[in-house]
Amino acid sequence: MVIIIEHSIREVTLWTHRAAGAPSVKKVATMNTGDFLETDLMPFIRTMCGERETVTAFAFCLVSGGDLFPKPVRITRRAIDSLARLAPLFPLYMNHTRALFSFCLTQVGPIPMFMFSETAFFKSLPDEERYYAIPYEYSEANRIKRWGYHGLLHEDSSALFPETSQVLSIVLDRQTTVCAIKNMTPRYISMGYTPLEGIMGKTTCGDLDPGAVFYLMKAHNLSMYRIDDILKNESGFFGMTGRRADINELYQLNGKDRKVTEAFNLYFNQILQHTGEGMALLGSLDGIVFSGRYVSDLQPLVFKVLKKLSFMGLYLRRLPWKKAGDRAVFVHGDTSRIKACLNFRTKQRIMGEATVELLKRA
Amino acid sequence: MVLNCGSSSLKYKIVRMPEECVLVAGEAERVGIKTKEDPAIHHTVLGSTVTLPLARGDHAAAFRRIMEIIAGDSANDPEIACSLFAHRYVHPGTLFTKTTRINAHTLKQLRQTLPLAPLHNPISFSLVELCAKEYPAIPQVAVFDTSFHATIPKEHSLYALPRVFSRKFGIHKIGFHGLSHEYVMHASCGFLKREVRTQRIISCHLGTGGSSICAISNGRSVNNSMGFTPLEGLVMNTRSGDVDVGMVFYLMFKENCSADDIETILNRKSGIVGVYAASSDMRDVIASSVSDPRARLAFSLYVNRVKKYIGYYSLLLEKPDVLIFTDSIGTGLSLVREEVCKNLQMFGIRIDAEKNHGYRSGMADISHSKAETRTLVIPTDEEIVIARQAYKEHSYGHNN
Repeated sequence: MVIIIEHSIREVTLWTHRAAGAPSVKKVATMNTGDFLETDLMPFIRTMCGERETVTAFAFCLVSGGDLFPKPVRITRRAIDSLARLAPLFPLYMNHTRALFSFCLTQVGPIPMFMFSETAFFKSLPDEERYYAIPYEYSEANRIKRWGYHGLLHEDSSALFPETSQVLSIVLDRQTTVCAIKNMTPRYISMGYTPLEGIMGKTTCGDLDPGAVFYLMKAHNLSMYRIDDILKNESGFFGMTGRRADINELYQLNGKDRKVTEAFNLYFNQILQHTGEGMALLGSLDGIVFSGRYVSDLQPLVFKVLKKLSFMGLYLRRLPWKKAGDRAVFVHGDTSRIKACLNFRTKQRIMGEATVELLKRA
Repeated sequence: MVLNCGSSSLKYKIVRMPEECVLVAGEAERVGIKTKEDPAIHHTVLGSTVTLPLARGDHAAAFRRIMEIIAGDSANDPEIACSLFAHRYVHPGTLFTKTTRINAHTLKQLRQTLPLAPLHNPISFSLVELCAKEYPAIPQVAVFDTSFHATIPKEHSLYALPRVFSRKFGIHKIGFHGLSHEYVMHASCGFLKREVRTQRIISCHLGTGGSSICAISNGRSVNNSMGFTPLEGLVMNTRSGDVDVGMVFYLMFKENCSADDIETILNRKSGIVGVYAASSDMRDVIASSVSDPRARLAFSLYVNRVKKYIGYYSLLLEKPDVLIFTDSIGTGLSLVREEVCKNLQMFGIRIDAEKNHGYRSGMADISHSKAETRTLVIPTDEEIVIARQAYKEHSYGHNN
């Protein structure tokens, strides 16, 4: 059994990964005490494992660090030390990550631990997409570049097509991202330097005119810290609807509640924007894939996005599109020039299988 | 007299209305910016054009020099005279939605809008004040660049912010270059002999100062790449265009900068000049791009951003009928058009290389014979749109 661990500065989420087909179990631990690692995490892991099963590996997911670790690596003392280079960019998250890794390294002893980066896939993003049009020296000195996100899912979705294909991958999740991929290499990603850029999230604003930020600071005396907090934690679906619910739950009210409908109209438009942008850089399109935790619940919205591509020869099967385990489901019609697909594999499944492969090779 | 201030240019025209007879036209270029070439005034009077030197300086200095030149023309032809100043005003916020006569009250209101477009509004405002001071007998009107975009639907104009931001502070996508987009929309349909209300148009206004792209459906603007301010959207000469707003906070924190500092960086030290450093002029970038990797990066960033918006608007309009390139870069640099249109066949866009590179002036169709979308090059004429709207307001004011 492999234990998959995702962490933020507030909580740790663990999944078990067993042989193909076996259900994974998810547990969430909220870090509400300073001595969380000492008193809570290990007993928590032990409870989760049970007494009879052997844990063969741990797999951690990092939200950054792809330029340092373009492939999954074994967590060693040296690897943990090298994460210090990312601390200036993500001070809270990275210091917490290093503490978590160090603690687990001492506690689990010889059981191998691996880390996967969500930004590793974007290591080969072309410079014209990597850089912003700001003074070059700022980009270099402060690492202000587009690092991307959801690399594990985008890479997995692109693998559903032959290697030389041109694919557009859309992840519908708490953060929604669009990635254009050519020859298995990313050419475009909607999310940038921070999670604020791109498509609106549960509480994040998505694309915003920076001029609006300056205007709010100067004309309405809002501080940098206040606006930063508003854009990260009080915007997006929550800001527009006043409802602190997951996107799939809110979608039940789409068409029934005016504010929710407006929010989903904007969300749809932002997905369309980044889809069109990615397509323009690909030059042609062989396939388009939707994945992420909301891919089942948002099928009508997926249908609406794909319908916008019908002038290019994309024809669809009728809704509902049935899910068959975690296998990919192709939803285009027989005469369609472009293939359309829903990828139900989860990030945890991808990490679990990759970890098993890493163990075999080791 | 129409005065059209760009961030680095000042266009002017004296138009006899309502005949729309242009008596004098001209442009002071490279005003107030860092370029390798010197500023100059291209001045046309009664069909004859001369290029005159212009000392480096701000827009006020350029305006005074223009008025000196026109005074000389008036001495030869008394018909060349100014009875109304019509100013293009970029960003009135939510204070004005249509052409407005300038008086002490409106001047006070316009002063409040200066922070909204730091590259344009202060320049236009200073010219309005200068005209009032030096030509107090001549009335003035302001014509706004935002009016054409009043039709952008809510789902395209909202940002995903708490509702109070749009309701109380007016934060929403406003859109700019409306005068230019409106002009080329009508001109393209006239050229193709098509009805405006049946066409889906992508208009690329690529200028040496500001640039924006507009999606037009049935004669109405449905989206514009610029946002609440002209900072959003395309990469421009000195503006960054779209950036991750997260970087604003990071830079303020890390570099210990104020909002003003970062705003200045993004408005005046970014875009082409930020990446290339040696110049903000796309012509210089192209000339250096063979040997200079930073020039190549600046060019690719610029082209990619235009392509991306064309991709977005192509989906929004479900394939454009017409793609238009206008303003100085849009009409003047065939390499930009070629690179932007490369590999966009899936949206129906394909240009003929010979027609594209052979374009010299006027309106032209540079589409490939098999292209589904007609790609046109059209020199813009914002001044005529300004003159029409100003004349209408002035006549209406006199009659009422």
